[in-house]
Parts: sequence; structure tokens; C-alpha cells
Amino acid sequence: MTAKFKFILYSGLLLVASAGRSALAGVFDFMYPREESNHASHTDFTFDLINWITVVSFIGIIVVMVYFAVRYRRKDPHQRAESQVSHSTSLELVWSVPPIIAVAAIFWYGFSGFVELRTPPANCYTINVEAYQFGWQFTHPNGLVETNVLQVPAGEPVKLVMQSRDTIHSLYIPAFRVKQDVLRGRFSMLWFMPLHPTDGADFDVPTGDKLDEFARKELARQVEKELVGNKQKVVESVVNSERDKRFDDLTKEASETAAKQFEEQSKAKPKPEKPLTKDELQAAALLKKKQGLAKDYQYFLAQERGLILFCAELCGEGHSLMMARVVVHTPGWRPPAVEIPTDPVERGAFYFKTKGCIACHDNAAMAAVGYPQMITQGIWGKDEKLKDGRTIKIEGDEGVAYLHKSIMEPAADVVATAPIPMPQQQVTEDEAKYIIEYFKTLKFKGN
Amino acid sequence: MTTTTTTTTAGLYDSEGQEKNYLNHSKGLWSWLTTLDHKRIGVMYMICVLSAFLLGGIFALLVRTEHLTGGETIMSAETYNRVFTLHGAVMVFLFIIPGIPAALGNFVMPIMLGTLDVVFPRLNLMSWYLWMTGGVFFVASLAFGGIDTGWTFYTPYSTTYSPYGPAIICALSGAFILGFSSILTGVNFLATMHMLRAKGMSWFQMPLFCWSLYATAIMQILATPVLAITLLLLIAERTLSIGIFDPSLGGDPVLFQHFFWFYSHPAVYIMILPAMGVVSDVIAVYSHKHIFGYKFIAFSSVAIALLGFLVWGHHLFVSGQSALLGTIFSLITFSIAIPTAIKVFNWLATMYKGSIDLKCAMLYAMSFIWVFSIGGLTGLHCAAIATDVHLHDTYFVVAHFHYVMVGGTVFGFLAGLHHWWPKIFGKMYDEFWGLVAWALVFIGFNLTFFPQFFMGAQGMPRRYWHYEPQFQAYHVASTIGAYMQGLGFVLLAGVLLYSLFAGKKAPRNPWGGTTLEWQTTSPPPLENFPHDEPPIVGDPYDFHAIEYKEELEGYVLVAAPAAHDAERSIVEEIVEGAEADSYGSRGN
Amino acid sequence: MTQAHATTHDAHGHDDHGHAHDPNQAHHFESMEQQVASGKLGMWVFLATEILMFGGLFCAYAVWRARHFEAFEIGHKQLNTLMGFINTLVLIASSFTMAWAVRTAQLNKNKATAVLLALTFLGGCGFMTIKYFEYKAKWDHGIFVGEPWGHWNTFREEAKTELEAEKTATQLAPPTTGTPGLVNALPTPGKTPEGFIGADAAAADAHGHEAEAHAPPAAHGEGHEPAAEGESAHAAAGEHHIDPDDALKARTFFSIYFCMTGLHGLHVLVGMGLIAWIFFRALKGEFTETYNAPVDLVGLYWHLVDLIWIFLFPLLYLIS
Repeated sequence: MTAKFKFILYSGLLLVASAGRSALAGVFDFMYPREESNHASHTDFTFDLINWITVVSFIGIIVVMVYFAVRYRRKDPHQRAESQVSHSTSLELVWSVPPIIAVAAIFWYGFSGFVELRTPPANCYTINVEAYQFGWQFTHPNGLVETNVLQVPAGEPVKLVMQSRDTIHSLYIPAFRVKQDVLRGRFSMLWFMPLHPTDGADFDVPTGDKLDEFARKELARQVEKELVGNKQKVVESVVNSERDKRFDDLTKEASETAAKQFEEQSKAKPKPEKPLTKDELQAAALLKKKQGLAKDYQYFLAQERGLILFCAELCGEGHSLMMARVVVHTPGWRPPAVEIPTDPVERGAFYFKTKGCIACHDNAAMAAVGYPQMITQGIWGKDEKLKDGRTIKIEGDEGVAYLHKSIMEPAADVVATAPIPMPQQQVTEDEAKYIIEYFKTLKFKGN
Repeated sequence: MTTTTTTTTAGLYDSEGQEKNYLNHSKGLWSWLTTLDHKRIGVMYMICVLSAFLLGGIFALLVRTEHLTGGETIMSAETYNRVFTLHGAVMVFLFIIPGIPAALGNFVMPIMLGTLDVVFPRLNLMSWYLWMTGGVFFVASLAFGGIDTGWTFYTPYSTTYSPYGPAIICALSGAFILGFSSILTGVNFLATMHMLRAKGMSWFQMPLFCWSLYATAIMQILATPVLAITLLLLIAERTLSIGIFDPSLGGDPVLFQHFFWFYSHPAVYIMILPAMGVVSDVIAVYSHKHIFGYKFIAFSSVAIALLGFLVWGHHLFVSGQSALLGTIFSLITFSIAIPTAIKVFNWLATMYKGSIDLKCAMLYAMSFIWVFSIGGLTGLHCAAIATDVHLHDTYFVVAHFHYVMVGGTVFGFLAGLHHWWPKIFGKMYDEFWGLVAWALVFIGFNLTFFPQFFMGAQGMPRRYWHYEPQFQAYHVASTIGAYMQGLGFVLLAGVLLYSLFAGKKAPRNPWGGTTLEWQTTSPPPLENFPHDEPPIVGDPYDFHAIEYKEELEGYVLVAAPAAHDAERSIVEEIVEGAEADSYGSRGN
Repeated sequence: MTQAHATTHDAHGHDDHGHAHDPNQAHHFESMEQQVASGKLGMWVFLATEILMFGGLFCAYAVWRARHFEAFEIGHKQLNTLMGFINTLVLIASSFTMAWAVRTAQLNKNKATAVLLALTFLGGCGFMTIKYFEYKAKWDHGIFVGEPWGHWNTFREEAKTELEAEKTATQLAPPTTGTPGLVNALPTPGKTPEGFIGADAAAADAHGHEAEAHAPPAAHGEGHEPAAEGESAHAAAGEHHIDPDDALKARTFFSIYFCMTGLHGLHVLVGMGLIAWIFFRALKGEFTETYNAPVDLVGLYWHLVDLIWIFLFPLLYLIS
């Protein structure tokens, strides 16, 4: 291979690679998340360009190297090299100039994409973001505050103005191809325009076919995971029966729990004013189960679409658990008006949600790590074991005092199962009062 | 050793008939701990950095094992944070940065220069003791529970929110001390190459390994002090809350990142340049051919060293530095690709029309080209800002830097280890089992890290204990690769250690090298060269000057190496009609 | 002639040609010249690393100064320029005696070398002593590096509440003095540390002199009343209290001040140790015309230490 031929080959390949993505599109698409924002196409094009240059260069280098190693193999120790040629300035130029051109092209596309990423248009729909250990709080212009759910309208530019309560976090939405570090004491910004609304009404509980489909997919994935590597053991019927069994189990489980609860309630002193019938209990339990599934379903949807928001800067133990869903509404969407409930319990539930508590206290992944889950496990009436060995019964005045201290001074009485104390939160006395009122209605159900 | 006046070999043997060399020159642990001999210091470093590699490797296997499933597999999220941090910190500070210069450079470089020792032997020993002390501090941080901040110690997590205060102070102090070990090595090497080259050896008659060590020394000297002050300020911030990096005290966390990366970016070139130097020499030897583009390779090493100081901001593209600054850093980062590419092409051109012997060292050097190409080319993805916004802090970056650091530095280290092992210990190792180990390491390495590119591009962030189910297949593949690598390294260690006991005695020049270390015995005597056989200086890549001798199973010098550069240009070649160079001598 | 020149020696200091060489010449050098040149190269390279290390601090200083200029204003006025100036003169003088010592070593005058080294050492002592008094003065006013005892946060919180109180009240509570002589007494509630200068420039100048006059620790006990007087005099003006954010930033100035001068002081101590070492060697008469590298190299180090101070002094004490 003469130097000239190499030069022509190299430049030719380069031209082909950067020619047009229509001709070569698609080869690397499996690497990228779905293109859900306006930035994605440019970023993916740049990525494609670099991929092509990379792949072609790499193959070229390896082919040459392996060819030389075989062709010029030493067959006996006396064999000398065929030539001792060891310098050529023209050759050095030949293999310096095309790389310079290639990297210049790559730089240009990277730079222009960057300019776009950092230049938000004039009338953006602006959402304030506060990152903390370990969750995200989104505040819409009309005052709606949400935790771990980012709702945005499609078809218009959305700007996120971000700050952190504590350490450095980084807001990353792979599907949108955006990322920016979130700092304390300083605002940082990123913007994007979502392209496709997510299917379906997002806060409806999926029913019927949709629920079936989701459940089957989830279960199939789980079963296959367990059977990975043991392909011989997979029997179709096992998979199918597992799936159907699980469904039946769900209903069965729900009924059994409901029946148990009914029994306990009828044994215990009558507390509720209107005792629920067995059927009502069953239905309520099933609905709760489905709602739990619904939440997973939302997550499932988000996953399918890649619409998950991650933290991308190591911030502590919960770094990999502080994920948020991104929900893309139809163009023109605006959040519903915020009404702070007047009923104290509802107000407490409202604060529990919007102040970010649910990021850790209503989260399956966090439950696995050991943080108390007030909604699914309940809290009022619980015998709480603390790290220092004491046990506190969360009831009456003592319970209220304990809950109050736990909210306002989280480092003081730490629950035994929690690996680290709750980080200091920004809750006013008022808000804490309502939250405690809400907690009083969450009876402890046992683990 | 008293003056000898008899023949060459007489002074080489002691009263028991055993060849006298630096290993058996004096006995006992104390003689090693107080040695001023650069060769012994090199061997001590080798044992130490390879032990650190083992420790870091164990942490790596723990990380990969945890990643077999998305939730908790063998450890909690909190523990995981500490395990990967320690993996990174131990590998970077205790193994990769000192690695090749300390373990191989210390031994080989003075001999390559034809001199007796480095300029400051006592400083050299002190460097080693500083390494040991820094290592002790690191291990001590384990006793305090380990650190969970990532090896990059970003503030304010490391100053305020991490609960492992004492461990952090320990680790920071350890890194500070290791920094001085690195600085003193750099000072020593730079001075040695300036002052102690053998008479008649010009700068351009130094082997390329030395050039790479020179460029590395420049970076060690200029960059490491900035790390030192950064670590001191971090310790002060943690203990005294001086308010420089912590935003709640009015500080600026991004300032920390600037300071940290001002050192840590040149640090990665400190890691890779020596490996490239090893590869340059190894490829020339095992191709039995003059290195192609000697001056280009030498100058590109220095260019990389200098440009390396101008690009630290490419670690801060999304951290909050201004867009203008980001653009400038991106542009300069691309410029480093060029000298790097030049080196790779020069190596390939060296192989052209060579006489290529696929021994273990050459396999490692060739696989270096494979893995370093991938690593370097994926650096392009990271240098382009638009794609970096998507890829920063994902597994793509993890794969990229493992390809260049493990693929690059470790493979270069192993190439050098296999190449110089007979010289250092005087024993030949088993080629076949060395090859098997190589295959395990090479395949395992690619299996471990290649899937991670895809994971990262698909959006899996790094330093994540939990991950989304769609990434599991990649993780499992990666873990299998990791175990394969581990097996390969264990086998490799076995092959080399076994050779110390049962290996054949090595001739002076088993591979056909032309640099000065191959003129002396294996292992070398205390004064590097036998008393009556001073090294013969000339072009370090003149392969016409050596010939293979069956009875020695090695090569000998049959002519003086060309006094001037033996390299020939294409023009000369064509003009002189491509004289028959394939077999036979060069007209002597 | 293809034989390269070999560099072999035996233990008795005779090389190939049987020439004796300086007993101070190490075995791996061909000649004393080579050894001296190598030592010099090594030392210069090491000095480069020191410059880089302090460079990081200078960089931090530059960044902070650019961002929080007013805080640096407030902060630097607390420093005692006279003491700093005396320190500068002391160091320059000690550099002079050091250079002279190098010269006498080259002239084989070990006794003179020893005397000059002793003077240099004393210069270092003088520098550290003045430094000690400066630091102590800062400590006594509640200004110190970081917050080992919660000074700054308390200080800031108090400045904040005080500012709020000021908005509602027209008259401030009479300042109460802390226990005199208690070194790390917390600043008294509702009051800035004694003698600390307020944000107002005019008041600052008036206070500046007062604060400096009370800086010497010996006068600490008495220092309270005049300062208190001065402050109540300005209480009516209501502008002697520091803006809380500035208070916090001034703390950064002092952190940088203490880090830079502290690190420099450490280097001075190390230099003094080195000078002591070669002092004893000079007493033993070890230095000759050919062998005086240790004095030369320590001299280089000492000059660098001096040079760094010459940059520190204007940057910290003088410019405004």
C-alpha cells in the first residue's frame, strides 16, 4: 500500500462518512435513546459523524497492523527487515493533514450544537428546579410544585432554571440530549423543546388491555431475567403459566389482604365512623394495587420512551436512585391551577408530596434501602426502633413530638433501618404540623 | 568492588562462581531498604505498584460483581460508593501515575543512557519511601471506613456532605505525599537526561522510551504541585471551613474543579506517555527495524506534554464554566489528537517491511495499538461539546478512560514488563503461557469495556449503584469480561513469578534489542555495565549492528552502531536501489 | 574511535586513569563540574515546582479578588502594613547575608560562612517572630482562618440579626465587652468583633487607625474601651456594622491570607532548618572552592522564599 493510495483511500472514506446522513443513517441508531427533543437530531448527527470517522480509522489501522504482522512475520531469528526506511517527511504530512481536517469538522459540529444548547429562545416556558439529596422538585410558573415528575408541553421551548439545596447534582435527560450541573448558590440553565407527547392520559390508571399488556411485559421480563443463561430450562408453558399465575396472585393477594384487614378491624375497637364492607375493602385494596401498578406503568412508559431524568453527578448514597419521570403533554398544555387543600389531612398529604418527601418515603427503591414508607407501610401506631436502641411508640403526644423532631431535626432520632439520617429539609413549623396530621391517618399496617 | 585488570569476564564472578549482579551484590532486607541503586529501587517500586494494582483490581471485581443486578447484589449503595472510589483512587494514585516511570523507568533509563545511576540516588530512595508513606495513608483511610466521594473529590460533597471525614483527610494526605514522590521522580529523571547521558550520546541518540520519560518528567514537575496545593486547600476546607470551595460558606465549587483538573489532565498524559515510549521501543525491536519517524515521535511526546496543560476545561463542559471557555478548551483538545495520531501511524510504518517476531511483548504492544486507538478515538466523542453534553458522566466516559488507561498504560506496562523481564531478573519466562495470559487479558478487557460505550450512549450514568433493567445485559457481559481479565492477570503473574524459580537463564540480548541495556549482562552488574565493557554509544535503532547467535539463544553486537542516525529516508532508499537488506551484513 | 567513554570508578575514588578526585564527588558523576551542574539543575527544577504550588494560591487569590473586591478591601485594611513592611526588610536583609555566605563559601572561608549563615538564620527567626505577633493580633480580634470555633458563622449570624434589628430600632444596645484577655471569646451579641472595621469607607479609615493602634496584644485589655468608645461614637451614624455577606466574604480573604502566609511561613521554617544544617557543616569546615554546592543550593531556596514574600506582601497588604 503506497502512501498515495492510502491518502486517497483515507480522504475518500472521510468524504463518504461525512457525505450525508440519509445515505448512511441508521447504522448507529441502536446506540442512541429515542430522539425526543429538538437537540437530539443535531447531537445524533454529530455522534454519527464521529462514529464513522472513528470506525473507518480504527478498521484502517487494525487491517494495516494485522496485515503487516502476518506479511512480514519473522520466520527465523536471522531474518532481517526487508528495509530500514525510517523517515519520510512527506508521509508525515500525509497522515497529519487528513486528521486535522477530520477533527476540525468534528469540532465544528460539536461547537454549533453547543451554541444551540446554550442559547434558549426568547419565550420559553420556564420551570424552576431544585435538586436535593435525593430528589428533584419542579416549580411551575403558576405555583404548582411537583416532586420527581417533570411535566412539560410538547412543541414549545422549555427552560429549566436550576439550583441545588446541598451538593452538586446534574440534571440529565438522555432522550432530550441535555445535561447541566446543578449548583448551590448559583443558577444554572438548560433548555429543550420536547417533540412528541407521551401516549395516553398520564395520570389515569391503566385499565383492561393496557394493564394486561404492561403486566405481561413486566412479568415476562422478570421471568426471563431469572432464566437468563439457562435457556434449556425455559419452557413456554412455564413462562405463560407464571404470567397468568401472577395475575391471579395479584387478585388473590388483594382479596386475602382485604379479608385479613376486615377481620382485624371487626375484632378491634370500632374506630372509623363508617365501617367498610368486605366487598368495599376488597375493591379498595385492588384499586390500590392497580394504582401501584399504575405508578410502575407510568415508569414503564417513561422507560420505554427513555423519558427518565437522572442525576449525573455523584451526590451521595441516593445518587442512582434520584430519578424523575418526564411527562410530555400535548402542545399548549399548562398545569392545572394549584389549590392548597383546606382540610388539614389533605393539606398534609399535599405538603408530603410537594415538599419532596415522597422522593424517598414513597419509593420502592428507597424502601429496599431501609427508609420508612409512610404511605405503603403506614406510620401511626408503629413501634419505631431507633439507632440508639430506644423504641418509640408513635402514638399520642409522644408520637407527635417524635414526628415533629424527626421532620425538623432529622439527625436527632434516626430510625434503626436507615443507613444514614435524613438530610435537613426546609419545612416550616406550619407545614410540619399538617404533615403530622396527615400521618395520623396513615395507620401502621405492619411490615 | 576493587579494580580489575584482567579479562572481561573475570570481574563478573564471585568466589562461588556465580555471576555478580545487582541482585546478589549484597544480601538482606536492610541492604534493599537502604539501597541507592536505581535498579533495586526500580524492583522495589515494581513490587509495590503491582501490589497496588492487585488491590485496585480486587475493588474493580467487587464493583463489577455488584453490577450483575440492578439493585443490591453484594453491597448497599453506600458501600458501593466507597468501593468504586477506592478502586479509582488506588489505581490512579498508587499504580498508574507512578507505574511505568517508577518501576520500569528507574531500572532501565540510566542503563539506556549508558550511565551509572540517576543524578540524585538518595532522592530516588526518598521517592520510594514517600510512595510507601502515601500508600500507608491510603490504606489507613480504609480503616476509617473508606471514602465515598469519587476519586475526583468534588466539592461540596467532599467538604461538607460526605460522612467519612477522617477517611477523606487520610486519603487526601496520602495523595499529597504521593504527589511529592512523583515530583521528585520527575526532577531526578529530567536532570539525569540532561546531565548524565553517556559521552557521545546526543539528545537524538536517546531511545524513545527516554524521550517519553522526559516529557512525563516535565508534566510531573509542573502539574503535580498544583494538585498539592489543591489537596491542601481541600483539607483546610474540610477541617477549618475556610470557605473557598463550599458554596454554603461563600466558596466556589467550580473553582475546585478547575484546580483539580489543571493537574489531573496532565496527569493522564503522565500516565500514557511512558506507555507510548515503551511501545515505540518494543515495536522497533520486535520488527527488527529502525523506528519510523524518530524525531516526529520524540517531538510529539513533548507536544502532548505541553498541550496537555491547556485542555483541563474539557472536564467542565457542563459544570458551569462559560460557553466561550468551553469552546476554546474543545478546540485545543482536538489539537492533541494530531500528535497522538502521528505516533500511531509511525508505529505502523515501523512494522512495514520489518521482520516481525510475535513474542509476548510485541503482542501487548500491538494490542496497545488496538485498545489505545479505540480509547483515543472515543476521546473525539468527548471532545466535541454537543456530544459531550450527552455523554459526560455516563458509562461512555468510563469506557473511554478505561480504554486509554488500562488499555493504554497497563498494556504498555505489560509490554515493557515482558520485554525487560529477562534483563531485570535474568530469567526467561514461558512464551506459550504468557501468550495464553495475554489472550485472556486482551479478550477479557474488550469484553469488559466495549459494551460500556453503548450503555453510556444510551444514557446510563456513571457511579450508579442502581441501574435501569434495559442495561443489564451489557453489565453482565462486562462482568464476565472483568473476571476473564482477572484470570488473565493471575495467570500472567504466575508465568512471570514461576520464571524466577524455574526459568532458563537469560542471555544478554534475547530479543535483539539495540539500545544500551542489551549490551550488558542479564541481570546487570551493580555498575550497570561490566567493568571492562563500557557501553558502545550510537544510533539506538541500528539493527544492522546485531546478529543472532544460536548458541546463546540471543543476539550480540557485531559492529559498532552507526555513529550518526542510521535512519534512512524513502528517497535514499529509492536512490540507492533498495539494496538487498533482507539477509546478510551491511558490507562490513 | 568508537569506544564510548566509560564511567567506572572504584571505591577508592580512582577512575580508569587513576586520577584522584574530590572525596565529595559521588561515584556516578564524571567530574565535580558535572555534579555541581546537576545539583543546580535539580534545585532550579524543584524551585519551579514550588512556584507552581504557590501559583495555585495566587490564582485562588486572583479569582477571589476579582469576584469579591469589597470583601478584600475590608479584609486587607485589618492587616498591619508596618509589620509586613518590616518583615519584608528582614527577609531581604537575610537574603543578602545568604548570598554573601555563598560567596565566602566559594572563597573557602568557612568561619565567615558560618557567621553569615547564623545571621540569615536570625533573620528568619525575626520574620517568624513578627509573623507570630501579627497572627496573634488577628486571633485576639476574632479573626482567624476558617471557623474552628464557629467564630465566623456566629459573627455572620449576629451581623445579620443586627442588621435586621437596625432596621426596626433607631438606637443600638450599648456594646458590652467580652471578657478581656480571653483569646477565643465569641464576638459579643449584636456587635462586630472589637476593632473590626465597618463597610463604610469613611468610618473605615477612622477605625483603621484605631484598630491598628490596639493591635499589639499587650494592649489587649485596654484595647476594649477605646474601641468600644469609637464604635458607640459611630453607633448613632449606624453605619459601622458590616453587611453580613461581606462579613462572610472577608472571612474568605483571611482564609486566603492565612493559607498563603502560613504556607510561606512553613517554607521559611524549612529554610531555617536547612540553614542550621549547613551552619554546622560550615563550622566543621566542610566547604571548599570546589565543594560548596550545599550552601549554593540552600541559598537558592532561601532566595525563592524571599521572592515569594515579595509578591505576597504587596498583593495582600498594599494594593487597594
